[in-house]
Amino acid sequence: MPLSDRELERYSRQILLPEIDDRGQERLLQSRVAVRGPAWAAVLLSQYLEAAGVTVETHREPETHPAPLTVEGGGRRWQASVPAGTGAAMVAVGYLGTAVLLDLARGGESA
Amino acid sequence: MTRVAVVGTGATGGAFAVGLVKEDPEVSLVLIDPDQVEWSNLPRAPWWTAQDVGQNKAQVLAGRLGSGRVTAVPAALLPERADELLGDADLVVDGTDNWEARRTMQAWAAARGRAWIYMSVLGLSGITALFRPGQDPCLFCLFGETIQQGPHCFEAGVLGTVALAVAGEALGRYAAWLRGDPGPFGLFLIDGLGGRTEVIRAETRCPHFAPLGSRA
Repeated sequence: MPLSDRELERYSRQILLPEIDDRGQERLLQSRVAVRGPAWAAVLLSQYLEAAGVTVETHREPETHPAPLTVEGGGRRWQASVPAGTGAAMVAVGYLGTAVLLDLARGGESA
Repeated sequence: MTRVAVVGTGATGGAFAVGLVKEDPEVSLVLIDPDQVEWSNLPRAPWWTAQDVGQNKAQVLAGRLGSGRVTAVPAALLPERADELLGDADLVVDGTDNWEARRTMQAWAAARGRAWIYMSVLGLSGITALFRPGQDPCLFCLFGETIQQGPHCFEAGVLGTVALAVAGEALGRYAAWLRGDPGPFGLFLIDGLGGRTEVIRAETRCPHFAPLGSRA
């Protein structure tokens, strides 16, 4: 479904990225994933994926570190290890989220 | 209690503030931002919602962080207001995409003997560094004294999760500074596409600013 004017405005900064573009944004808005991992990192990742347009189901687990943080959806799976320390956890979540968003935006197309 | 001023509460500054309050719940935090939340901010700033569009960014984020030690200042950081706005901050954090504001932060930090943290993000890449004026290289050492404003995110695009990684690396620099052990200067290059951070070390003596005084 084509993006609405409000969606074009809302997601304009990521649509500008050639790795996403408007077709990739349409795919993000149609994507559903499940996030599982230590609570703070899992919620943080879910918030960023949702903000980018993805529908997310979050499974919060106890705070242990290092711990796996996983994302599953569309027959694919992504994983990172969340280290101790808030900053390091943010870095891990940021990189994992970026990989998920770029892969979902790309769909089945080659990089 | 550490006093931190974050200038700009968007993708990098806001994420840093969110992490900082978790890392150090006792921190005294001032959020400085003159702008209102726009629809195009929302994908990079999950601390704001559609209901916040049109409201001041700093004030909404301060409310979300829900701590009595977080203060919002809905104003722009201009050179003539730096002392007033940055006050008694022990450390200043750059969450802007504005070189003039960065020049102001750097000049204020050097004059007051304070450290500051630089952050930037564009496209799928970002940079952060902790600067101790007079001790580390400065912005002028790294980027030249005639530094010009580069493209903004509304021109080149940006992804929120990359900004989150930048803020996370910046928070790591903050934690090292707080421990009194930041080590040699490092320019942290965040590669969102490659999913890794490269650190460029430099021990150049800065000719632009005098060494820091002792922290208050």
